[in-house]
Amino acid sequence: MPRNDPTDTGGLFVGRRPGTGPVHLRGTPERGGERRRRADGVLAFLLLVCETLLCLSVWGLQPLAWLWIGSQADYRLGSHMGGIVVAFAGILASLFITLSLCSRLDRMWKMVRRAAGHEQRDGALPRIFGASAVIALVAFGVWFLVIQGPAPSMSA
Amino acid sequence: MRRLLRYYRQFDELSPEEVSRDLLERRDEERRRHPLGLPPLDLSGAAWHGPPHAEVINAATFALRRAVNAYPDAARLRAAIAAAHGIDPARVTVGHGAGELIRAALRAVATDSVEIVWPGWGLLPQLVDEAGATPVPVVSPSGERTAVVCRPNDPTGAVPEIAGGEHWLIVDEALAGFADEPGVLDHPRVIQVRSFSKVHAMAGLRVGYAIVPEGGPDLAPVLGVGAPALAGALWAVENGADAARRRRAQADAQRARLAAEFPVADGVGPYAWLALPVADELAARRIYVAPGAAWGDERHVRVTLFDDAATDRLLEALREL
Repeated sequence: MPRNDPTDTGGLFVGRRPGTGPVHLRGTPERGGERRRRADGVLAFLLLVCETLLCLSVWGLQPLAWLWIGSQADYRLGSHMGGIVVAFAGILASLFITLSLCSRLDRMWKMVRRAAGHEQRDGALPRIFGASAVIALVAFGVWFLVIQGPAPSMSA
Repeated sequence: MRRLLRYYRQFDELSPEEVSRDLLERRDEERRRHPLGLPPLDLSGAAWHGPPHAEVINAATFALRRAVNAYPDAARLRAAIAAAHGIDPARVTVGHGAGELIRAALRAVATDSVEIVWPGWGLLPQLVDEAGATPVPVVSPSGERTAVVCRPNDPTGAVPEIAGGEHWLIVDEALAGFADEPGVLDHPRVIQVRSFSKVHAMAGLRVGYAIVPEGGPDLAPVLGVGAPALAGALWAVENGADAARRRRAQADAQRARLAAEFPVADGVGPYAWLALPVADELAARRIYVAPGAAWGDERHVRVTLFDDAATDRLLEALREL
């Protein structure tokens, strides 16, 4: 369905709906040939994979790494609270850094997609981040409820 | 690497702030070019300056979303118009605006020469010419040949008395909504043509109707008028009286304001026939009116009446002249 389809708004529309305006590029780009566009398509895909892996790491690898670092801090400082604070602050800091990195990658992805000949209006980051969160939640649920099983106190 | 990045940066989009900056720069440039700092005010147009009632658009949109694959049927609109005038629906012809109906009427009933009560609607001489007749400007119809008269008059706003005669009389009543309802003339040689473009503000839909005497010429366009236009017009006939009254009151109020200070011809309608040759002077102030030269009258201009803000600006400009 075209983005300016009037039925999309329930019929009556005045002017342009938000988010349907043309993309204003910085100039009139000189596009590459067919091979260049195909290569750009592959590059865009790789960028998307990177984004996805980074987003997934927010829910798995990074918290695990910070929990390990937190445990080291706990041992060296001799303080449980110190370990918890280090792990918590670390998780938050790495989350923001990862999102900033993903945002730059997403902007790059949009440019490469346009170079590959697509009319790329929006980035993929919100969808990837949301999907990765759902995947992580489901994976955690499977691990927690099925693989790991109920806690010893509950199973007793 | 830098070259590669430069290539992809071509496809980078401007941020909303950058887009706005461009628009703001254009606005500033426009202001620099026109030191008066005023936007142009075009009071020379013939259509009503505002949009039609929202329900007209709703009705037209609703019609568009229905069976536009089928040919439109004007029967409901004709019946509604006939009921509004208390006449037989067979006498009502719906067409693509009053202009097209007048064109069709002239082609059907023009004599070798056709009288046009002048000044009148600007396109009439051309339509008479197209019908293969010679336009003859007159003050009032002589009754010796086919004649066309605007009631109310465009541009003067005068509402002439008319009566049918031996020859055809075409009455252009495109502005009838701005006058007291003149009623239907039951005469075998009178065609009255009305429009939805003015008092119903539907010029863009191109729809109007003619009231033709029994046995009169067939003025209907082949296969009719578009369904959205018919739907909008039907709403206007059945429910548009209040909106029409408001537009008439607005035009009357602006005319009265102008007439209180400057010589305006007595009349009704959305135009004021101003007895001042000031088109060029007003244009220098970025107010555009229709010069009377278009009607062969250098001493007048036709001002299309808008709203309070437009009249304020016009009055201010006229006082300075």
